[in-house]
Amino acid sequence: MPDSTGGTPPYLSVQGLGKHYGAAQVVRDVGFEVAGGEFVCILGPSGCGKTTLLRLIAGFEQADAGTIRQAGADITALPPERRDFGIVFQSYALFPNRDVAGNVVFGLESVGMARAARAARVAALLALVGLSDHAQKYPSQLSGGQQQRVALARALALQPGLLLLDEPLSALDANVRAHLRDELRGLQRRLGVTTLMVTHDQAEALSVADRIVVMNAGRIEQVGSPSELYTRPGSLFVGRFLGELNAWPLAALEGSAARIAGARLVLADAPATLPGAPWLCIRPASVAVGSEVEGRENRLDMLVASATFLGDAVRLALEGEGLRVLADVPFARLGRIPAAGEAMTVALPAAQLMVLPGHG
Amino acid sequence: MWANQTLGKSTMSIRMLGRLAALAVAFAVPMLAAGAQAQQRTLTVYSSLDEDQAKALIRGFEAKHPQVKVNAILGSTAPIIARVIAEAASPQGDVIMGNAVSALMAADARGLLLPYKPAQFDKVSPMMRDNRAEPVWVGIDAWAASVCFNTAEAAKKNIPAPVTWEDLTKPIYRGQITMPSPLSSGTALLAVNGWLTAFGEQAGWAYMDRLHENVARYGHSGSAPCRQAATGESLIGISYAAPGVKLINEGAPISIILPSEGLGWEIEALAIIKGARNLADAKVMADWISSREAAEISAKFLPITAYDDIQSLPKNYPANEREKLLKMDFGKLAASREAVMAEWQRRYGTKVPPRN
Amino acid sequence: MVERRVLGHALPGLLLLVLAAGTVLPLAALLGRAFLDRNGGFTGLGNFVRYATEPGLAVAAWNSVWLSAQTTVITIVLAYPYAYALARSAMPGRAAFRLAAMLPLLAPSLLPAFGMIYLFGQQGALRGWLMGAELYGPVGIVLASVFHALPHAVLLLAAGLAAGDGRLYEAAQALRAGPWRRFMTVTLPSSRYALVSATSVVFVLVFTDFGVPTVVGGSTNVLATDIYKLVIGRFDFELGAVVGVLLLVPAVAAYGIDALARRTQRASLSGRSVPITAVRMPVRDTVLFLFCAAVAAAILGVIGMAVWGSLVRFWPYNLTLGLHNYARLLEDGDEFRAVANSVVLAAGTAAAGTAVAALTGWLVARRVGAGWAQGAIQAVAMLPVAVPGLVLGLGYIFFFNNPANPMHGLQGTMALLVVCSVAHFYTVPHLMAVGGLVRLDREIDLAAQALRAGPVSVGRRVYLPYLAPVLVEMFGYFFVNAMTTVSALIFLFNAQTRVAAIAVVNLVEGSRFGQAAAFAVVLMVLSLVATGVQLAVRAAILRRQRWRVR
Repeated sequence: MPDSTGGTPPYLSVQGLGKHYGAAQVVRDVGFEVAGGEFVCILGPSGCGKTTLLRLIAGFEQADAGTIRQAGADITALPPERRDFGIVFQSYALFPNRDVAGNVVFGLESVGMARAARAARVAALLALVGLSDHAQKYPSQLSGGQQQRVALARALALQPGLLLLDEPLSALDANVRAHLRDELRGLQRRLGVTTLMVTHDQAEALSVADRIVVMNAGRIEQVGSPSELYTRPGSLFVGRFLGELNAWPLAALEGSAARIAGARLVLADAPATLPGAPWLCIRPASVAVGSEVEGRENRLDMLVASATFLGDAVRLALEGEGLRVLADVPFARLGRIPAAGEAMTVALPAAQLMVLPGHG
Repeated sequence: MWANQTLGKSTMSIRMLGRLAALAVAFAVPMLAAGAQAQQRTLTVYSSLDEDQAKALIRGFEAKHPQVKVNAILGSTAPIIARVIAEAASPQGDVIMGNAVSALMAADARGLLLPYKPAQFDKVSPMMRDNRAEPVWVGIDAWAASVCFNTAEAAKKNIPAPVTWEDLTKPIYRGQITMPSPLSSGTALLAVNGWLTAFGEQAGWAYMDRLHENVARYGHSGSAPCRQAATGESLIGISYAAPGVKLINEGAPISIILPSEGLGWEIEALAIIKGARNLADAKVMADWISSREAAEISAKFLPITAYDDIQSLPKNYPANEREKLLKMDFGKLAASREAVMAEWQRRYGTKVPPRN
Repeated sequence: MVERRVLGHALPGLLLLVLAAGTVLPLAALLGRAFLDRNGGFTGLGNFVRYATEPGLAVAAWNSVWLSAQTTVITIVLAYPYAYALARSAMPGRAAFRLAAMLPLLAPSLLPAFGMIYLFGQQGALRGWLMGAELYGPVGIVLASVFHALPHAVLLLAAGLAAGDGRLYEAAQALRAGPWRRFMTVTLPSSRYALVSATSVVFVLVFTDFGVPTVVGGSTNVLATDIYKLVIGRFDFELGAVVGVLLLVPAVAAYGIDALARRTQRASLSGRSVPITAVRMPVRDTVLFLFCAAVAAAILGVIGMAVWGSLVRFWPYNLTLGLHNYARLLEDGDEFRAVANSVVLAAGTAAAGTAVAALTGWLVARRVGAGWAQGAIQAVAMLPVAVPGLVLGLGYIFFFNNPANPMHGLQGTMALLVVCSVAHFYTVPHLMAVGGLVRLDREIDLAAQALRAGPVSVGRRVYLPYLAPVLVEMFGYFFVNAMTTVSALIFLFNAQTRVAAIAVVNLVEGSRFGQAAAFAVVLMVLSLVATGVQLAVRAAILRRQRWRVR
């Protein structure tokens, strides 16, 4: 995996970027780097400024502050047509009056490539996305997934140094989405094209990205690899955004233990000082249940409030000792779905408990 | 690398725009040329005469002066004068060949007409020429306010034909009369002036008060009331003879009545537009119009022309029009024009006339 | 970059200049006189005060407002179900009904006036239908104005109703809403914008129209005829300009309302909308068919009456049928030239107008170029619909016939008539172009930009083919309107550029009804042929553009 902090200079570097519309500051002081060949996701809830950030990088919007450098050159002030990128939009924005081949060849015509070379390139691109049989079809005759592939082939036609993807999968249904997600990832690896994808879907980001930039309210909340962000979120926001999270307001530290409403829980490595608005958190999958609790600290006797079958796991909502705890338990281990009102002992393993700042 | 190619592309697009522009110019040039073609000497003539009469006069003029090509713009009396006034900044026409003297006076009052005494001015009947020291107009023909009466509808309704203006105020004609409004029609103004002359100021307005009770509607065009009478849309139209004659020739069942109290009348005259581009030929036209030859052409259409001694009565034209003309003081009438219009507007302009 | 500079300010600026020279400046040249005395000195509101003290103003203003309101209500009540039937029902003969509704646009306005008089005048066959009321006056104004305004309303409403979102109906149906409730809760609200714009266009059209009240208005004064009386009857251009300013008031109000409605309507059509398919509902379709048949019969009746009038010897007293009126037209070479001029004018107007309107529509819809220019272009493009032709024509004289004007050379040319006709009919084709192009996703431009294609390139490669059928419609609209227009040109034509519609007026003034009617019929037939060609070309384009088929 490429290392953006290594000796080689980053392929794309964003520093101190800012953009406002009227009084609304949409992007504030955003900075991050992308190494050559890396797949980076910009993840955040809608309205967090992630699409604006992408448009700034594409040059569709002009930044108020900061710089964007691509392959060593400052591109901050360049118009889009002088930058080196391909883009896939959420709507795909296919030209309705051109067939599949016509859409893919559009950019090649723009730059005046010779006819024969164009034909060869289009054929290769269509083969790449598996649409060789549909070259003569029009966008209105294609399924959503096929349209998405056309948009991708079109974006790759000019062999851009940077591929920008704006929520490219969000218009598709779940099965197609999962399938295309993997395909996209495979294609990116094979071509080695540096890719920046905007998404609000954390599962998507976690599964395809080398690194994820989490944004919130115009700012970068945290940057890191998927596993880092999942297991060591920097804030309550990131923790909650990347997956289900048990979180309780942390009242005080008592030595290596944390006091929360209704309980006192032992921590493996208690912080020296508390961050502002501290929360004590644990992922439901880390909660130990049933036989697992033997020999573990922070045991609590609770009653099952509800149980939801998730396929490979069961999500239990448990209540007791003034707390409500979610626990994801592999179905194979339980062998059945517990009934509401059933008594159950859970443990919150000290090593899995996190103290997170709750700001923002 | 991309920059160059993009630039190349966009200059190509601009070349395309250029080609489009060239096409547009190619389209526009012949149209411009159409307006500017001038191999021959041309004369631009505005005229409100009857179309057939105007064309006959132009043919006569062109036969006599083949070096001059006449471009005629025909239209109603008032729009032609409005156009001359609006075009004052750069006159487009050379000569107004036939327009009501009262309307010409409006242009003259704005200093838009060039005084000129045509060659045969002195041979023209004194009544038919501008007798000021510096004459601006010379008469072509004259016509009088008349009544168009639909005989077919009258027979159906058993209504007798009116003989006098006073007859028109009888209850039997209630709701059967249309006339133009003097606010937008010169024809109506001369009828009104005729009544004020024939009956006197006070009795004239009193007459119009009574007439108003019988009028179904006031329109905008001087000839329209006669046309409405001709098609049975009304029984009686206060108008003038020329459209009635045409309509009778077309087969309309109307008679043209010249009421016995006397008729308000109007001269149609020629005047040269100040700033005419073809001034020399405009004067040639004025000279020709004042000739007996031109008057003889007009006499085929109307009985009263610039030469008293030419006797004619075009087919279906009512006899004795000349005898019934009132003695009118055109200078005084021109001066009181605004006042008469205002008084008419005050009395009849805002009231809805009765219906049947 | 050259293209960036050209498109940023130069092209929008140039178009704005052209539009301004065709509309704003001539209007200002005339309407500016509202604030001047006869000698050109500034008098402030003196003329307004003078006009306000004229007797009859209040009556004329009230007549204008009240008659326009009545006409608008009747027109919309007739046009809405008619347009609904065209756009949403499965009744038979929709194409024929669409053409029938357009007929009043194709004929010079004198033709329906004749038809109206032949039907409802003193000698009219259906006079009794007026129940004793007289045609000449308010009744005639409303009847003829409805006839005149109906095609505009039907066009706008049908376009609005055709562009609904089918998903809303599926949702409403799923919620067990019956047909009537679906209509009230989905159809009516979703066509609100079309309703607002149709209402304001009809109101403004009737408010500023001068032709109808002069022919069938009797003694009923309205503001539009006041202009005629003041300018033509009294040569008082200053007071005429005051009335011209007053006539613009409802148009300005309509513009505001339109902008407001546009803002609230914006979000209702998204890229994922499902097109509406006409559903067969036998009872509704039968009722709508009967309704449309009645309306179409009325239109055809009026036009047919006028055509019949052109074939008889002297209506109503000699009803011998024959082609003598047409034969007499052929005797006059001037009338041939007038027809040729009309065709040149119509074709020139259509070509130039379509090109310019397509450009301004593209700039506004695709937000090309500087923002200030887009707003200004949109505002200027909305102006002509509010301006009576008479006012525009006089403004043209004052503006173009000024020797200080660098475009003075245009005076007296066919080119000026073309410019004037383009300006006069500009609003609707501009809106057609905008409407056609805003439907495409905004991201299309960005995608093209990323593919190194500038706005001109994407305009040529994507928007031009996309807009092609609309361009044909715009061309047809300009063509038929330029073919029949009179009011603006009456001050601008000369011997070389006299067009057929003016010849018709001359024939009426010369008391030759039969020939006038015959000539008007000839013009209508030419317009019908042009419309036929337009429909055929449009169909051919749609057939060739296979990508439109789903």
